[in-house]
Amino acid sequence: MIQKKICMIGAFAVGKTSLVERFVTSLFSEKYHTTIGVKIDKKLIHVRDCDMSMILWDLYGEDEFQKIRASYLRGAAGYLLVADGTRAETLTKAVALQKFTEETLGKTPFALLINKCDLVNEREIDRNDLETCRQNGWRVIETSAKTGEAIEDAFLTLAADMLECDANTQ
Amino acid sequence: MDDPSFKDHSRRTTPETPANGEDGLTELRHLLFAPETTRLTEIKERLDDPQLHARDISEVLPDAVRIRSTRDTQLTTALTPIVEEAIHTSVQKSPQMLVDAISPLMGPAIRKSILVTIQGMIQSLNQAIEHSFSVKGLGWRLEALRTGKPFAEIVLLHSLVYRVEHVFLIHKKTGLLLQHVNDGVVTIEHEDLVSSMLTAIQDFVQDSFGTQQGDGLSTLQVGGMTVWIEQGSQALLATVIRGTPPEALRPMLLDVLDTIHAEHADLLVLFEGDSTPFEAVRPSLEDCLQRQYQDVKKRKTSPLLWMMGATIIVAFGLWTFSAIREHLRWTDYIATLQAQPGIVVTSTERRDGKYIVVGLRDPMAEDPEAILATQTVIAPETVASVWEPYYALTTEFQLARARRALKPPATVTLSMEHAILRARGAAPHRWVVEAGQLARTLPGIDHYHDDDVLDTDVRELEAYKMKIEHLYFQYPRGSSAISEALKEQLELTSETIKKMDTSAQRAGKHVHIDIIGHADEIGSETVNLAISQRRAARLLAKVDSPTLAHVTMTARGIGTQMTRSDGSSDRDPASNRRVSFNLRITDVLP
Repeated sequence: MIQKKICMIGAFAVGKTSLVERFVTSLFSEKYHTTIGVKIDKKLIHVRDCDMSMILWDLYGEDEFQKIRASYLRGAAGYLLVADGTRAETLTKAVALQKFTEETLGKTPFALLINKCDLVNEREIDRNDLETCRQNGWRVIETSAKTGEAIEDAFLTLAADMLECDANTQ
Repeated sequence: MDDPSFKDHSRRTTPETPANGEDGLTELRHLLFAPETTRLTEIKERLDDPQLHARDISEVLPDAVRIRSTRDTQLTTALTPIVEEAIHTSVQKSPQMLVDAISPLMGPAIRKSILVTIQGMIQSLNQAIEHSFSVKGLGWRLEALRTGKPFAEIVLLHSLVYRVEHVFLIHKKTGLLLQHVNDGVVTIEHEDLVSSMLTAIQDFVQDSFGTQQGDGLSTLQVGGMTVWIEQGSQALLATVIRGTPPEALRPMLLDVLDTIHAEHADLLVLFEGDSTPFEAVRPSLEDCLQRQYQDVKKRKTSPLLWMMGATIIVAFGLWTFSAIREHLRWTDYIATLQAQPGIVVTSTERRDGKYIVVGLRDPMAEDPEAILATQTVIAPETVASVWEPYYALTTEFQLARARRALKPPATVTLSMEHAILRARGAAPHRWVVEAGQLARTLPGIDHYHDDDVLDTDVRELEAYKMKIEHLYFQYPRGSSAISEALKEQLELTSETIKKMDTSAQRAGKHVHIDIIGHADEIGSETVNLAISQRRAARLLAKVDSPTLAHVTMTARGIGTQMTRSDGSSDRDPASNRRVSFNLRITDVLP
């Protein structure tokens, strides 16, 4: 069994905790819980003939008062950037966080999750921006913690990317 | 000819071909024998070059050793002193190497041995405490009852100095768990999450307080648990310890961590999430599962405690003795009551410090209060009695009740059989009558027989009657006067009649006295009749009295009608000049 540390990174209230909750326990709650510090969960998955224990570090959402600590990112084998599809500024924040994370970790597999995709009418993030991200080599996945859409896929894709990255390094 | 050395060598040793044919023979020899010459040169080089020679031998040495060792033991004999010397040298030079080599074998064996010893010790300790009545032991028992934990566990917890329950080897950079061992007593789920969280806490503290790299959190204290975190360059060793660990444990933990770093430096640096290679460090981590218990010795009990204990035991003994004695007295009293005729105990109980006895009591039965006061030493104020009256229908009680009601005179005996009361003996008339009436009202008596009771008043009356009827007054011829000689008899008669009146009253009878005057046959019948009438009348006048209430008298003369029939009247006419009495006793009508 291989273990991997994965960080959930994003602005506050984008749904990082809900995504982890949905992925780990298949549950969703409308109630909002602010993450203070870090919350750690675990999910066992099987990907590419490999058993993997994903240690999910759900970091508190970054805002103007609280910056993400580099120490929490250290040792992460991959990370999920999470943005809220109904708040355009969270994508900007995600881009900034990606830059920060890459500076801290180096080139590391990651994916950009545009969460709350079920709220179609409230969507603010421009699809062109996402396309730009894709053109930059980012893996962009639209998810909904509420409906569960594409969540499993997002985590498994990241896991596969991490394994591929390991294979390349060796 | 694929050997590169050979190729190289051939390239190196092949001379340039003479362009102008210096020596044909030499050239021919060269052409003919060049390969062999080259081969010989190479073999010579290999034999002369120790390195090449060693390489050649190394190719065949394993097989050679194996083949020889299967054939005989000479090789072993030859190698033994060399190997021993090598080991000796190795141990002197680097003992750790040997320790590392044998620790995977020795560690589990030693741990198992220690575990068995500790378990035996704990078991004997447990038994010793289990069978002791110390205050502490009782307290622990209560705690075991309250918490639902086994008594042995409570004892261990209280006698525990410290116990390392978990050891985590954590990859410092990723926070991922490299290896985890526990003591088998306390287990946790998701030890990998604990590992990550410890790392997160560590990072948080370092960031928050701006400590220098390497100055990580070293101790966490949670209730009775302590978490020690030893910092290594690549890994952390976190130990979860219950109780108060000695500081001497820390160097030992650091040694283990250093050893792991030294032996697995490459694995730690290259760690990418696969913790399988770190299975090898388990024995080292298990060595960290140290524990220590208090030496539970029997402390010398102070004399004061002994005295207190003895006092308590004596007081308890006295109380128990007193309670038992009181209980026995009470049961004796109840048994005494139950044995009493006319007493039926229906219930007993103890309420509010008082004994309560409830039952039925014949009024003629013994007084329970008196029994309590005279036959027991129970304090009467501690007993409350509730007695309902009832009639006991035993023969004894019916007879007693009949005696009490009828009050028979001493001359009368009463007996009881099959609900029939019998009276025997002699009794005054009045008692006979009243007893006959009362007996029928007594409970449990169906019949009353007094046929065998002699009425003493009637008998007396009969005696007076006989006495008077045997009296007679004799008169001189032609006389009806009471002579001096008859006066004494007259007084006797009057007295007897008075007694008879009294007796008749007691016997409820009426007596009629018929005074009959008689005359002898001398003279005419008329004269004789007259004189007989006078004799009767004059005597009546003498003996009759208005005070007589139950005796009536009449006088009549019958002349010579009833002369004495002894056939001597002619010869002794005086015997017919008399007055006789005829008495008739009749019942007084109610």
